[in-house]
Amino acid sequence: MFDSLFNALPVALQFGSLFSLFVGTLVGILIGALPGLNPVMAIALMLPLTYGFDPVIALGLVAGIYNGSMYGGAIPAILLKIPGTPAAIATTFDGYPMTRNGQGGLALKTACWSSAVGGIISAIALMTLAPLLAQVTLAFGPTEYFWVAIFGLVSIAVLVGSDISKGMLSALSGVIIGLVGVDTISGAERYTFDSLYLSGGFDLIIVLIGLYAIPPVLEMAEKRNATYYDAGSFKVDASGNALTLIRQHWRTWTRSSLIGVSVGILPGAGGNLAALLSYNEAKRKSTNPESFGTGNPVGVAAAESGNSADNASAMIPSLTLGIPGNLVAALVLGALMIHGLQPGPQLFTKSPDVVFGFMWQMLITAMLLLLLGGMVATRLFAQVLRMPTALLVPTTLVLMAVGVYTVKGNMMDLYVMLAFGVLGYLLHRLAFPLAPVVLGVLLGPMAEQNLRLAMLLSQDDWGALFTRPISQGIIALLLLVVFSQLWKMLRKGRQR
Amino acid sequence: MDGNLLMNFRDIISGIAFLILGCTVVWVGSGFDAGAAYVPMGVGILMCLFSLPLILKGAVQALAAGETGTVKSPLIDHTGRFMATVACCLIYYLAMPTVGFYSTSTLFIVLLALVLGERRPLVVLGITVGFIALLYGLFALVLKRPLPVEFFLVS
Amino acid sequence: MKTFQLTSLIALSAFTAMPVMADDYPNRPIEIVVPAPAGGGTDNVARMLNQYLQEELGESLAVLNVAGGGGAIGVNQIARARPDGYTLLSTWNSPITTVPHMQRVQYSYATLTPITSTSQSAYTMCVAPDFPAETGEEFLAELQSNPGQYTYGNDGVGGTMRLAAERIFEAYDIEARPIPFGGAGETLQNFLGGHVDIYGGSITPVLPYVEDGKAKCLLVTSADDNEALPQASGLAALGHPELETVLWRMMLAPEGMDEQRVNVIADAVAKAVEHPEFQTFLASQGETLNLVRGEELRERLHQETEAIGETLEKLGLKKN
Repeated sequence: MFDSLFNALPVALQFGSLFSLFVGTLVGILIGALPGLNPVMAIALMLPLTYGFDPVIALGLVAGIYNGSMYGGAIPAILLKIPGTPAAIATTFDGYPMTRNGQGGLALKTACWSSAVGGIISAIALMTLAPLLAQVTLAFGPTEYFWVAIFGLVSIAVLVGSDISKGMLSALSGVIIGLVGVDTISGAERYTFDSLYLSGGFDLIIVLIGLYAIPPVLEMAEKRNATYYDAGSFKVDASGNALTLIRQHWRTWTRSSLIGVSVGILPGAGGNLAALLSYNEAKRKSTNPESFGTGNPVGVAAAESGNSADNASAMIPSLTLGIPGNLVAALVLGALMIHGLQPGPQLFTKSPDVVFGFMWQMLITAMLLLLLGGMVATRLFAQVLRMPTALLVPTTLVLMAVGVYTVKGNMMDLYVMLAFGVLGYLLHRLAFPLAPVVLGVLLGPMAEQNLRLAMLLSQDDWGALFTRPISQGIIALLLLVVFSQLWKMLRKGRQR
Repeated sequence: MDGNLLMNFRDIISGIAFLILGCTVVWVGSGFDAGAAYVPMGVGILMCLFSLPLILKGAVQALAAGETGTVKSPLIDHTGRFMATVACCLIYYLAMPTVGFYSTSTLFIVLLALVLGERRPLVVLGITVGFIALLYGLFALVLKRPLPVEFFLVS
Repeated sequence: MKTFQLTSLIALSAFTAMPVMADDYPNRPIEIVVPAPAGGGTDNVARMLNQYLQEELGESLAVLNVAGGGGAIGVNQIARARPDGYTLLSTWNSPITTVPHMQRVQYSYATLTPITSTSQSAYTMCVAPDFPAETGEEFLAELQSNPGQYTYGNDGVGGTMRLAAERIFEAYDIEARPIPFGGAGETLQNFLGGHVDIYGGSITPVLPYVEDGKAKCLLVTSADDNEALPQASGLAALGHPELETVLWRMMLAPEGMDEQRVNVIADAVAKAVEHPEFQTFLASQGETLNLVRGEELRERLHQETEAIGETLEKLGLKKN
């Protein structure tokens, strides 16, 4: 296997491949940084342009856009509190406060390095452990997925902050949003009120753009010409060099990358969950958890390395098994098929240069981020911020409109986005945390469907949820997290 | 009536809103088939349960609010501009399918910029034209993505 | 060299794509709604076909993936679109002939404008290598003698695969437990992981595992056997050709599309499918060409809708 891996290196390093990686990474950072435009759309739109060329070119473009957009999403998240992609939500928690504290440059640099490190670790996992990790993917059935979803939901407890009832209400609203539509198990319509639009359910991307990206824009509109940014704070090179960053963050990076890789190999979970779980874990492990949310660089490092580490590992089930882990992976499989390559286990033996070449490309593009990331962020986006707020607001809104419209070509989606925007604004102002809503939308349906699939499989034997070893492992982890949190709270209570 | 008092009333009101939402979820959910009903009902009941402490806390604090004087932030900072932005968005979405994407977007940016108080014509036009040109380049020329067609091009 | 081509391609597309004010159809990009997620089987075939179709039409085709509701969401959207020929639907049969029996929808085969069908393929049922059956007949016998014991993964309520299976099971008096997954990918994952006993889904994803010996495909839901799966029996070989339920793909348009424009598209499709690359691609997907146009296509949709309605009624799955 390692022979073929190294034989494929020259393929990934040929000029065409490097060129498409370069273009892809650049496009990815831009697409990621523009709120509303997302990488799936960019890849779906750009792939047809490459059908006439070698698959290596097409895959280089995918790898570039994919990794580039993960970092790109962090740029507006840090500068404007608007996550460029849904996976960058956790980056806003500390990234934006850093900007307000005049540390925007440092935040961007931390995000760039964290994304690159997450991407590199993930690519290495893809190169070395893919067949092994694919077995893990297969070992996860509905029961295990159910517990993964529960694990994610319970971790909300860490995210909710001080007011538990508000946090729980947020999470439950998220679950309810996720329940709307046709139930996939029974085919029954739920909470659709005879509306055809609702019978399709709410599209996750549209809900997230609405809840997260619109409220900051509305706030910006209200403040009008307030000066948000101190141009001086973006002199990236002035604030902290690479060695300091590595020394500060290597623990966080390792932990978050492991979380990202683990989440990635489970089809359907996604970079969003990886980032939120990484953020939680960093906060939990921290000696100073109160500083999270007020501009702690560790929060940015955790979120960005977590979501980027999800990328390459999400390709593991699709390359080794032919089962797409997410939409981008599905597009990669589609591109392979269109180039006449059959996805599945034989891909490694039949066209090793393409598969292993793609793995190298994932690695190279993660490294390219270091080269391109800082440049794009400072040269270009710091300039965008010089735009008067009164123009920044409408242009951002147009971008979101076009982004959401191109998802499905349905005007109704725009109104829904705006409605969720106003809802998000109000919840935020009423001090309801928004992160649990996201986890609710994401994990609520996942927990429900897998629970019901598990019940169908076990013929309503609830015991089956607890007998399988992996489930027991997840439950143990769950109890550990819950009790360590309780223990901390108790100790704190005693000290007072 | 100070801001804090308002904030506590807000807790009460949002708590009641969630209580109603939870009850509605349970009420509607009770009509589903068995398998499809468990989780929605459970979620609705939990929502009702968690809204109670919120209402209670709000009420207790509202009663005790006379002594504390910390002013909390208003619900909407600047109602006028907030409503204007939302209204402009609605008009924008309404007009887009008939007028066409690029025309409406141009008008929307100019209009909202004026509403939000930008008065330098060169800045407004320069940025608008540049931005629309970029969008056109990306969506019409490179990606060839069909967007709502301009009214002067409809066939 | 290739990079040069890429750059020149991008440059070219940037300079040549100014909107042309001509009267002939088509004169601007056409939107193709695919009612399935990006990267799925329907999406891949549609995109592959589009590549050759846009050469024939001289205009670019943009795929819009509108997934959800078993395909109903995308078809609902197209049914409301302007019938000017710039919004078309590229779908498989289930959203048109099956879903309307189960959900409220805003369309029917009677109102949508039929353009042409393109290709078809069968579903297959596969088991693990240690399953006590080696042929389609033994497979059904094993299921018959163990009612309610085996689970089969399928594409969900209202999915054509589930329907195909239920039709066969009903004829053989078999009781197997359906487990509704989100699609063939998810079913495959759970089948390979041993969480369900039987894989039920399209042929392509499972093919590599048949070559590997990790899956044994014993049944295809078409009347004929399938070349790609030599071990599997077609329904004719089992003596029940009438139980055939296949997956087929077609292009439709909103109600009231101009007939001339319909012909422009149908002719272009007929030429596009002649490309040898497209045919190789279809063969690798286990699909065969199948071109039926206009009112004949409507008749095919009509018959299938009626037949499926009856089956669903018998199975007690029909809702509308």
